[in-house]
Amino acid sequence: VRRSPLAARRVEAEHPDVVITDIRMPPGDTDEGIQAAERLRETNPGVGVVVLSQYANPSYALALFESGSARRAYLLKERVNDLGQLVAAIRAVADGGSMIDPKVVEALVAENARAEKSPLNELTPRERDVLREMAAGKNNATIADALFLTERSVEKVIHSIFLKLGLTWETLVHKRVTAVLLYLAESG
Amino acid sequence: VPIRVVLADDHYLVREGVRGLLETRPEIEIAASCGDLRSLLAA
Repeated sequence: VRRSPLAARRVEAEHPDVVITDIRMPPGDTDEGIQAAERLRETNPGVGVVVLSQYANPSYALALFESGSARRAYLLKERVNDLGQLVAAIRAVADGGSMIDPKVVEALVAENARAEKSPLNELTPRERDVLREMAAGKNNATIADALFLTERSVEKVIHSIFLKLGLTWETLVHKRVTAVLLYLAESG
Repeated sequence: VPIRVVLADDHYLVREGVRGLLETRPEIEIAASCGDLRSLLAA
């Protein structure tokens, strides 16, 4: 690995809006990207982090979101060639949002389908589709396009999801994140 | 104002590949890059 003195302490020196980090790096070659995200949550809470990973196993994504989903994205490395998706993840974390690779979400949904007691099993297939899109970081307009619904219908479906999951009124954004976290936690 | 990004990846080719892709987008600015955890974070 080539290392110059100028490379030291990038975050302190550059005050970036977003850090894009490999999940595995020296010194340990294990989950340094997630460690970095945890440290930055404390030292630089305004900095967004996009973790690029070769692991579709949901446990790594859950570890990343354990200290909160705001400003965090988990993308598979195979997604990097899809520049639109990478830029969307960068924008999402810069705006305080989050994004999870669709493939990881699929794995979570598959795990959840095997669990019986989850309140998520109360959801209709359409509600489940919308929640999956929410978990992938999409906004209402994009969800509407993807599922061939009107934006108004998407709002109604989301309202119904919140009711079934027992979420009381907070700000819309906060509730959205809570629904997604519940979805992730139940399948973990 | 472009979004300022720091890149961290120990594989030079991956890092430069991602940089090359993102530099085609005017809304993104690559401020710096590095290849390990310690370089990324303040001590």
